[in-house]
Amino acid sequence: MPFGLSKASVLGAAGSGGGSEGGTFEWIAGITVSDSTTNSITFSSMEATTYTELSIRWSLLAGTNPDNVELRINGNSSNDYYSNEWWTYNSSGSANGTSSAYELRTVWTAGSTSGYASPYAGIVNMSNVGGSNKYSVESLAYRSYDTSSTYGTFEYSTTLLNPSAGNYAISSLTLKTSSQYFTSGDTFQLFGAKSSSS
Amino acid sequence: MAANNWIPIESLSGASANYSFTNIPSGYKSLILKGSVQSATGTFMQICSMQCNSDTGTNYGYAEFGYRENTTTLRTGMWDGGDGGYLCQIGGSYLGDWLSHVEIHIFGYDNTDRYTQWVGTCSTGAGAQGYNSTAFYSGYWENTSVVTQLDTVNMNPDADSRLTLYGRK
Repeated sequence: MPFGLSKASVLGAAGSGGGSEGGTFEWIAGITVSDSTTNSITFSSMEATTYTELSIRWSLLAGTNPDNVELRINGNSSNDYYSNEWWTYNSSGSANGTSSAYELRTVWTAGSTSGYASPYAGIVNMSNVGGSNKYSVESLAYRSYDTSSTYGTFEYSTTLLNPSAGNYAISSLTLKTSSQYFTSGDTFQLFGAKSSSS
Repeated sequence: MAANNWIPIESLSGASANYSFTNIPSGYKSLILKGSVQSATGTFMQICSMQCNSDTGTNYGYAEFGYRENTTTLRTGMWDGGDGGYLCQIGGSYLGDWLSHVEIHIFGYDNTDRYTQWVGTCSTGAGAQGYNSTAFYSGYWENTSVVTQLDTVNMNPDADSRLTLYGRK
């Protein structure tokens, strides 16, 4: 084994088809919007000592007016986000990078006049959030094209907090709108995976 | 009942030339390689590949789509006949303390009817037109043998890196 390389766990190595049946991809917490005045939800406990991998799966309906769904780490609203994003909408696409944003834009939501447009769905992925290093947060978001909104979109974005600053262990994560509100029934679910079964 | 669950097979961390996942058991629907990695190699960005069962021959293909190194050039590379299938692009030591998120799903690894294939994402935040990755990477091994070992290539993970291999039930 090379110097410095540690094996945290070795399971099922005898070719038994998986060893322990104990799964480690688990639901941690969920938030479902129940009113028309919520514009931000926060997972305030990442349970970093238990889970090395975290994933948020979300689904929401766009309101009448177009908006952005944005992500903030540790409630940080300073211009500390080092971000990149690329996206498609209908037949167009573009990319952008910035080191002075106040959050990460995960997706632009086209408005919908009927309220029955295709929902948006997204995944946010993180690793080792309790560590003292600067870890990139990944976001994938989608919406199928529909004739109500006349938009379909896909967006892949990534951010990390200013690497030249101090310790940025991720202790909370917020998903928010830019200027509108979430819709009642919008749901956000946090999952975690352990790197060992112990 | 552990249906559709992730079972940790092996977690490797710390500085090393590469990570080698050995004695991988058969019986999972798929494998998932996931974690945070930064290369100790003196580069801004480092492209990493993966080899199966220690096969170092030119028996791999790959495809990539997305942005890496900067957000001004869309990468749409593909190749067949390489000595490793693309795994990810991660930051190098020039970036400092700046780990990338990697998640790769591996299919058909114990199915002798088909080649082993993998696909996933690699994400590295960056500023302005700086070095970054927001890209889909994929690779495959042109061999139907059961895969029992996966080795990263050109990764040179630093002391803060970790990758965990999961089996999915």
